Amino acid sequence: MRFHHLAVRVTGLALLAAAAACSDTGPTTGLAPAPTSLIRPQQAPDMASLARALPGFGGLFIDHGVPTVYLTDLAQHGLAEQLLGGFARSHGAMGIRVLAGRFAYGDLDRWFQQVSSEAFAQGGVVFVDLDEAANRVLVGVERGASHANIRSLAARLGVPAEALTVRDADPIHYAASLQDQVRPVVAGLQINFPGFLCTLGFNAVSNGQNSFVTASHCTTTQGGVEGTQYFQSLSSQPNSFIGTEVADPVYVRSKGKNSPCPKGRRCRFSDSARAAYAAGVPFTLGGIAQTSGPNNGSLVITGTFTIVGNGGEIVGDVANKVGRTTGWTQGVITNTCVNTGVSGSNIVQLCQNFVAAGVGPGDSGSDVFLDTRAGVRLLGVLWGGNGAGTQFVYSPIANVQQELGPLTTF
Amino acid sequence: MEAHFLGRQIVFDIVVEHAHGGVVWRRLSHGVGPSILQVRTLEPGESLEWHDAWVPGAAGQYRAQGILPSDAAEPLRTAWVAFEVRF
Repeated sequence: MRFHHLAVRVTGLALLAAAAACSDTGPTTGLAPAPTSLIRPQQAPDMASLARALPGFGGLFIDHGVPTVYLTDLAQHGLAEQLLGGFARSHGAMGIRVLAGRFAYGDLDRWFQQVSSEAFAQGGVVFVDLDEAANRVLVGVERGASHANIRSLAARLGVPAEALTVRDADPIHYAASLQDQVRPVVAGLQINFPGFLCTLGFNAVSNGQNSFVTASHCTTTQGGVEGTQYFQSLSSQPNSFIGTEVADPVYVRSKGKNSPCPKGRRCRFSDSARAAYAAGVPFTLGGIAQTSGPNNGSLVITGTFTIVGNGGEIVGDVANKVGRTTGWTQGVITNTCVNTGVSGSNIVQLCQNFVAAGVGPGDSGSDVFLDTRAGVRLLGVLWGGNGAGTQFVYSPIANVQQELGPLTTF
Repeated sequence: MEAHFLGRQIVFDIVVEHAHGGVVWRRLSHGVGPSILQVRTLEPGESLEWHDAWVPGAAGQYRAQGILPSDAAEPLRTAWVAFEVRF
C-alpha cells in the first residue's frame, strides 16, 4: 500500500490579511444640531441649541423620569413645553417640570470652561463639571484638599460664589488591566523578557532578597541561570525594568534504575525560576491581581487577592489562576502528582497537578491558588495547558520551594 | 507588524475532517505544552510556513484546516482545503 502524506501549509499571509482587515475608520465629525432638532423626540436635546432657543435656559436633566428644566425666566415655561414636549413624551412623561434657576446655561458653561482650564493646576482636583441637575459649576476635590483654594480661584475668575459647589470626591483611577504597567507589582500581571510574554507567578522573599517567581521556561533558557531581565509590562515602556533571573535549577537526566526521571528524558519537579527585584521596584508580598470574576474573560483589575497560606490542595478542590491572557479562571483539580511529558521536548515535569480550567498563550508563570473565605492559599505556578485551552498544569508550591529554596510568600 | 504565537517554538494545529464532518486527526489533540507567548515582528512581505504529515487510514473525501493559536480571542485559521485520498 502506498502512503499518501498530506502537508498543510499555513502562511504568514493569513496574518497580514487579518491585520489589513482591522484598519481604523478614523474619527468622525458632525455639526451641532439646529434648534429645530429639539422637537425630534428620540434625540437627547443639545444643550447649546436649547440655550440659544430658550431664553433663560439654565439646564436640563431627568428627575425620576420627568424632564426637568431650570429657567431664570419662568415666563418661558410655555416655550420650554413647546420645545421639549415631544422629548418628554418619548420618556413616558406627560410633560416637563420647570424649576427656578439662578444662572443661565451660557454663563455656567463659560465659568465651567474657565474653572476647568485652571483648577487642575491645583493639587487634588478630581473633576470639574457643569452640573445641569444643580444649575451650578461643581468641582470635586480629593479628601483633605483645600476647598478654599478652589473658591479663591473661582472668585479671581469672576465666578459668583453661589454658582460654585466644591465637594470631596474619591480619586478616579485608570481601569488597569493585567497587561498594563501596574505598581506596586502583584502576581498575575504580564511580564516581558526578550521576545516573549509571560505572567508573574508570585512575589517572595528568599534569604532576604525581594523576588518574584515565574516559570522556568519564561527565562532565556529553560533550566540554568542566564540573568534574564524582566520588564513589566513591556520593555518598550519607561521605568518597566523590574528584575533579573537569579535561580533556575538545570534539568537533570535519569540517573539509574531508581531515578524518577524516565530514561532519555530531562526532569525537574517544577517549571519555576526566581528573579530578584531591582532596587526601588514597589511590590506587594502576598498580592495577586483580582478581576471581576472567574471564567468571564475580563482582564480589568478590580482588586487584590491576599495570600494567607501555602498548599494543602487535593483532587476535587477548586483551583484558581490569574494570568495575562485569560484572566481569572477557575476549575476542579482533576489529577495530582502527575509525571507530565512536555509536548515538543524531552522534558518530563515530575509530580505536577492538573486543573480543568481555561488557559491561553502568555499565562505561563501564573499564580495558582485556592480561594478561602479568609484569603487565598498559594498552590503553585502554572506552566502549561492542553491544545484546547481547557486544562492547565501547574507545579505545586512544595516542589517550587524544594527547587528554589525556602520562600516567604505572604 | 507584531505577531503573537504560542510557544518558544511556534505551536500550530492542523485539523483533518471527513468531508461529511467528524474529526479524523488533530495535530494537538494530545499532550501538554508550555503556555508562553512569543512576540515576533514580521517584515512586509515576510511569510511563515508550518508543515506536518498525516497518514490516512482510509480512502475518501477529506478537508483540512491550519490553526495558529495566539493570545487573541480566536486563533487564526486558514480556509478549509478539500482533497481526496485514493489507495
